[in-house]
Amino acid sequence: MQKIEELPNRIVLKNVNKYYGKKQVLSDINLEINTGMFGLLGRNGAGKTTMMKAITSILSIESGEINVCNISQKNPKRIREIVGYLPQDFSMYPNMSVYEAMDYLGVLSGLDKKSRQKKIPELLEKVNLQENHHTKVKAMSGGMKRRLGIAQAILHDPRVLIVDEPTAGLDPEERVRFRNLLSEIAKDRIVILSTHIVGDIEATCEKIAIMEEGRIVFDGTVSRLLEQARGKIYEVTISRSEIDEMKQNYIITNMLMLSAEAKIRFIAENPETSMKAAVEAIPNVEDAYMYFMHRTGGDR
Amino acid sequence: MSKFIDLIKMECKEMLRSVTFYIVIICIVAFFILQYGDAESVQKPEKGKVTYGTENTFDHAITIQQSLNQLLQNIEANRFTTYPVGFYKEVVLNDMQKEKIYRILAKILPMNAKEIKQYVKNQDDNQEPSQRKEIKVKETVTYEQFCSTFDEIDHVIGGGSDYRHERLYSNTSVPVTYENAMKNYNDFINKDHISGAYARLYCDYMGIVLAIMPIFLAVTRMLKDKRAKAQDVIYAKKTSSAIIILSRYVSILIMLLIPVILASFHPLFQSIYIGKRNGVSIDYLAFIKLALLWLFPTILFVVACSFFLSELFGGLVSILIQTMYWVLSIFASSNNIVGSIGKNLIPRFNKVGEYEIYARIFQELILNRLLYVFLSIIFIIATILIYDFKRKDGGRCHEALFLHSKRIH
Repeated sequence: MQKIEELPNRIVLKNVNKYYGKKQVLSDINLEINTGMFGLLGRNGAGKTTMMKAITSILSIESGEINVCNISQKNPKRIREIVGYLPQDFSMYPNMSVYEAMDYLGVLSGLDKKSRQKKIPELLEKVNLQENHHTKVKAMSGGMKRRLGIAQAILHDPRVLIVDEPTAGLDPEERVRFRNLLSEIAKDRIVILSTHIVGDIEATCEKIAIMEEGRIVFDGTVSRLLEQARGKIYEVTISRSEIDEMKQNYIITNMLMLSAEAKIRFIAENPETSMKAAVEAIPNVEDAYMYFMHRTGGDR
Repeated sequence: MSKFIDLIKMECKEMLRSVTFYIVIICIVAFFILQYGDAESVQKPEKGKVTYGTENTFDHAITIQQSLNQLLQNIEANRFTTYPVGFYKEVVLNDMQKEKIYRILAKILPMNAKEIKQYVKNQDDNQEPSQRKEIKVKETVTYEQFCSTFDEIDHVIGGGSDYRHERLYSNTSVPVTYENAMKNYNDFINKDHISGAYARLYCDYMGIVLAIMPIFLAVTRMLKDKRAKAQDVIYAKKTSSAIIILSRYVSILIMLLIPVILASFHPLFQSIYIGKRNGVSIDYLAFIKLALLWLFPTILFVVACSFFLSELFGGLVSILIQTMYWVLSIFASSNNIVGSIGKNLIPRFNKVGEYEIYARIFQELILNRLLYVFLSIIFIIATILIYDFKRKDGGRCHEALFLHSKRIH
């Protein structure tokens, strides 16, 4: 058995399928994830959480293979040693203090008392909870809970960190702080960030995958995603009365309301001749994401 | 091991903050104090009294005669009190069933079925039992034959009557002699050292409440992860399912010793007082020793069973099933509350003294308690397996078990 330090930083998913009852929630997933931040983008219900749980080995798969740093999903105990997980809606027992929650989860992570006493204050400082050792979990804000969640997930210094929708509900300042923290953590390990908020991915991830109805519809770098959307995003200024007609004909990615007009960004292969005023725009990740969702049959 | 102990300490600390825990403790102690009241002591009998009360006897000759008399009276009145599945049931026999009983009785009586029927018919309701002409069993009939014959009769009645062999003694009633009363008192002082007798009554009452209240503590603990949204994060930790479940189990057992010890103070002080009054030194550890033997298996079983049921079906089902089992256990021993053991979760001994009965049932009590310890081990192992299974399948169990197998086939 390889030592943990000798394991390669690589997650490989091969032909992974998963069902909930008769509904297929993961369809033939093939993916390779290496060191750094990896963004998993997709709307709610696309299968992101299911895939995250499967990688964390708290959800079995029907067929296919998942290898986390060369450890098969069939060996969940070993995988749990090297994975840190922050689930969506993370919380802990309401009457526990921040320190006690970390201490409890530290024991469950296999840390002895000495290591816990050394690491918990360090990590709480890292996530800016150093003043909250005695704060009860039930008294914490959503942002504080997420920071506690991150601290507990990296308590045992995992090779892989999986965070599911970590910024939902956070205020802009906390979101930025959170993204920076994740980027810092991702220096020497794999961090998988699952979200439906495109801004989080844009700010932190070099490599991403887009999921739709249990399938991977894009897997590659952000620049390749942008490249593929190039020439498909246009911008036009129209009168407010034309907005409804515009909505019927195009996928609108952004709309800026001016006094009597609206500046619209939209997706089009070839804008109609009536749209002569439209000019090609440089796509951002949000545009590109919308383009992919549209191409794979998503809603307008 | 140190991590396991750390986990137990944390679980105990967490339980000390739980409202449910305090409610459970208050209920247990309050139930005990209200039921126990001021339990009467065993008094030294005074010589020359007219009566010292009555008691059941295990004397075979008396058991045979008084059981037979009782049965014939019941047939004549055609009314039988039974507890077939623990619940009270009054049985009325039809003519065919009565005929069957006469035929069975004919095997041990010096009369044929027809004559027995006639004898029963001729019994006068208004006649005092002492004035009735008694039928005696054939001299050649042994006690064992009598027992097996009466077991057959119990079967015809529908089971659960006082005519099954293990309940025959309850049909007996003999006056307590001065010698017996004195023996009971001497056993109370010399064999029970006073506190032993009170410890049995203490275990009797505590056994009732400890067979139900820990359910709420166990169910609350098992549902806590989900309610606190901590389930996934705990599932994803490296600690084995066995350590997680066992730490919770052990911590509940430890915390339940608090009400067990608290409640024992009242009868302990009572024992000390009576001991001083009689100039006898009591056994101070009697309550702890008997609680470990008698009550601890109850707690082990109830908590393990709650863990298992709530992990498999959820908390509500666990509470419903176990409450039903509790009610059945209470009723199963309701017609004998001094020395009723069997396979019942709640052994009964609702009397101070009667060391002789206790000595007689002691082995049965040990076997009963071993049975529940064994069942607890089975339940706790099953809980660990289910928890581990759910941990690998996102907290789902039924779907994973059943739908998965359907899809494969």
